[in-house]
Amino acid sequence: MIGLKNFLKQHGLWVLFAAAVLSVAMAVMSVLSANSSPLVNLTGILVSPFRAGYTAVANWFNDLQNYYKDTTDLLAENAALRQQIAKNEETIREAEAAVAENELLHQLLDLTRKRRDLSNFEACMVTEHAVSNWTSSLTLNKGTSLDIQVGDCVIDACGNLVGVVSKAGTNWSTVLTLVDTDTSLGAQVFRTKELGVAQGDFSLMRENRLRLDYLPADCTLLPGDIVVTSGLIPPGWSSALWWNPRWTIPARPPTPF
Amino acid sequence: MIARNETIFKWALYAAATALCLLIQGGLLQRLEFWGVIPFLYPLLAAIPATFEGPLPGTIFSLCVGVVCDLLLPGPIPCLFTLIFPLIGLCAGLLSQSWLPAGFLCSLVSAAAAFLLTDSFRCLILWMQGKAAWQAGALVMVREFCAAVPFLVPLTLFYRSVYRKTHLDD
Repeated sequence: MIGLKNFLKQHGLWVLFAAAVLSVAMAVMSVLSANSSPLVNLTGILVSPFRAGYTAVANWFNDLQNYYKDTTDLLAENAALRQQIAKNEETIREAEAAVAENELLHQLLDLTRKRRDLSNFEACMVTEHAVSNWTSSLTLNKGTSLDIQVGDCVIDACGNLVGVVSKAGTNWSTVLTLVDTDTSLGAQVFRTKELGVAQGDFSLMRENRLRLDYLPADCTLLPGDIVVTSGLIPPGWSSALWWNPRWTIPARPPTPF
Repeated sequence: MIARNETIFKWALYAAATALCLLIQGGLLQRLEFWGVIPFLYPLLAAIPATFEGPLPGTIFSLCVGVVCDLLLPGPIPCLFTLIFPLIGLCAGLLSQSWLPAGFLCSLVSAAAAFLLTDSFRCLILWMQGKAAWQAGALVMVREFCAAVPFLVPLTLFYRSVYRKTHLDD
């Protein structure tokens, strides 16, 4: 305790002052910059080659590992998929008439499409997955040099919403995924059309799940129900994505708020 | 009184050692998962050097590590580590000066304090955002500490070798 007293007497003010100045400077730079503060941007640029390097090495090891995998499972899966494709083709043939009729009705009634066609994609590679146990984030290898901005939506190859760009540097960007605690967006149960708010919850984050709050008191959710984004997109998000088939009601849905 | 060149050499060596640890964390440890968590060494990089160097140098070094961490890691506020790591450095420095001599036991206690401070602060921020998760946060804290404990020994040996290299006259 004497050591602490002496230390605080001699240097406490200076240390406090230095910490305060640095904290305020970082907070101010973070607030003033639209994408990322200059220091954060510079650090990102400096570490980008390292991220790319170790990602390349890790991918090489993964490729080697995959090369030696037993192909029996793949053959079985291939056979099952062929059957599935045959069924799907049959369904498509039956649906073609319905689609044509739907198109005609759309034209007759002058209806606008619910889902906007997305354009202006930029293909990215994930150079870093979660960097701490308290946030769910990804680092991508594209940034403001390719017009990527904070608030841009990120989707996977199947069109599912992955998350939103939270920081963007010259050749990198950080994405907070949907299950991060910062997430809060309108959601709709596909089967019953009931609306709620999907929110990130720290206790569910590790299970890749969101909490669905503000549901009607008499809602009748069932395990396996699909939840989609309702279209109520938080301010700052650059585009509206409607589907995320990965959201399903767990076996024991959380109690509605 | 250490000559200025020796001081510069000492802190350059500490910085290089820490940069190497950051590289290992980014390149290897972030891809591993033990008991459901990534081994998170950043608090140890603030605490262990401070146990060898004492309160004032330890606090300043931890402050620098905190700034680097804030620049590298996404977080709920832009200066989370800048605020917490100097406190960790101070606690670790005072601990080694007053109660436990720098070594494995001191590193273990400092690491426990480091995770307690860092993760409590994160829980506090979540609570202030209206997303309180004290129980889940405590569980993650315990897991992070357990996942980091195996790395205490090599890190302590590593920083001790840096300390010995830079304090030949002590």
